[in-house]
Amino acid sequence: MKEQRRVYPMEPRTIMQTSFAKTYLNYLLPELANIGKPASSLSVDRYVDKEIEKTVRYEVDMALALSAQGFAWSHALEHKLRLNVNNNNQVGKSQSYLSHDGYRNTMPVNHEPATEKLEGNPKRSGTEAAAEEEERLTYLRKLIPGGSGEMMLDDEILLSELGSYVSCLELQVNVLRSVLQLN
Amino acid sequence: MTSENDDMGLAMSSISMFNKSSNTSDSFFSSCWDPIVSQSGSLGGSSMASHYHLVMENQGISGTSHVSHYQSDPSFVELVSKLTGFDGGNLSQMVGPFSLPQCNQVANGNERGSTNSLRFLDEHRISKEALVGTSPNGKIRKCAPESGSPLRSCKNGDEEPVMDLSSEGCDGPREQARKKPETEQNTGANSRGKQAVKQDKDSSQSEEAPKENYIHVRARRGQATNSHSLAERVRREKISERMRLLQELVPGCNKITGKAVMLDEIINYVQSLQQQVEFLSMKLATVNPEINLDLDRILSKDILHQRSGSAAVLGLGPGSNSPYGFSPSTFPGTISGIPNKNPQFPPLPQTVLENELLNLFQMGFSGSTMDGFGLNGQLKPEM
Repeated sequence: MKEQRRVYPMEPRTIMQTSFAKTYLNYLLPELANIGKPASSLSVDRYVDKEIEKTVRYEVDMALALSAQGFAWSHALEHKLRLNVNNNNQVGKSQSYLSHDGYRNTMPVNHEPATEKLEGNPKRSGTEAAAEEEERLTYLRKLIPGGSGEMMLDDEILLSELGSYVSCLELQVNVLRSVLQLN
Repeated sequence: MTSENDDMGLAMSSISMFNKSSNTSDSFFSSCWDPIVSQSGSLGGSSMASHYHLVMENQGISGTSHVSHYQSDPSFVELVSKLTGFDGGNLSQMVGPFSLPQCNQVANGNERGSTNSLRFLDEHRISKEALVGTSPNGKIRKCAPESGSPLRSCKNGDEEPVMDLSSEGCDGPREQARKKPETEQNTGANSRGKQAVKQDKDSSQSEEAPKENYIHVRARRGQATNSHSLAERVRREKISERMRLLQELVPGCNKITGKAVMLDEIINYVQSLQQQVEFLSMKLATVNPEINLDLDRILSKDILHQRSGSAAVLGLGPGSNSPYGFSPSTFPGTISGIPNKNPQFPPLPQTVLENELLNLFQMGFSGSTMDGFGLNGQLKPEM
């Protein structure tokens, strides 16, 4: 009987996290090394910087997609990235797999009605609530890569995918932050 | 006995969180692990395995207090299984971090995935309380139909007392949703017995029938027994389970009790994460050439310290220059939770892991941690 196995329950998560980090960086770091910078370190060529930004962003996203195999969103992300590369798609400042840059603004943020709902506002009918939820689900579909696919039409699947996506995003942020901190 | 079961219950909760914990934030982790650590630590590897099962199969159980611990947990596993199984049944790809290869999709008429894991789960049912817990309220018991031998032994139920219970548990809820749902209330072991007997006629059908997967749902007391509404109810419950899981993922959502608000929070969180990624990516582009590849060893340690605070620092292999194999097999830390296997730490097959990961496994792992690793080190989805 091992009573002091305090590390034990942490292990799977740590392992998983380490694995993700390792997989992620295994891909990302070599790619980043390949990107490099233009010969002149004093270059103020914004175009080149943007290119680098885009490339880095691409690699960052690709690393995510490849580190999290087995999800609808990761497949969709990978696919989208490869397509974008092939088409030399230039989207705004940084090439992002996110569908639209203005997503921050398009989300109707209605917190007050929602609060009312929480307080048990009787006026709120079931249908309204359902419509609201639908609205949000639709928005979530825009956020998650591959959200417009038919698979994501199923709410259950959508929520599952969201779960994994959120987790992987967290991991990714963690990894990236660590890389930057060590610099 | 009760306290023991409580411990087990908590332990099982914690074990189910194995599956979950791998992909959740610290807050969730720290809040749930600490009280349970010692208890879960006291469990042997094999019992750990069986608890995995128990948790996984205990869905929708309510009633006794300690059993209620289970209630949220199977949903985790379900989420994980769900995360796994989306991919149209392509098992070889289901080895992501959340994968439970083969964990069955508890979905109506859903032919994806296999039912193996859940069958094994039933085989390992050991907690009578858990089974009894389902009876008083006649709760829905989602038990995917099984056609494998564990089921048969389960159905026969004459092997051992354990199996007996399992048979009761298996048979009881095993109503076929497509047949006319029974509204008979499950008021205890007696009714279970009755159910079992009654089911015998149907048993052969239900045994053979589940080449396809469907859910056996029991109608609740006083609720419509229309098959449509039952299916709908199951679906709604699954969705709520997923929502609950998401609630645990997104920090600070424990108090939220509204689907729309919850979704709002999720949206905000996803957006914020994406923004962070964007920001970090841009920063990375700036410092890029200064990053050297030795970083990743330091990195992993750093991550470990950061997130888990664990002293079990896992050193990485010497370099990161191995060809990156994007096959699913390179993903070691899957919470595969295939506890039907012997949870000793298996010799890691070279074919499955990259060398670096092999080093990782070999380093810094005491025997005690091997168990967990064994559980989670299952990569090959041939289960």
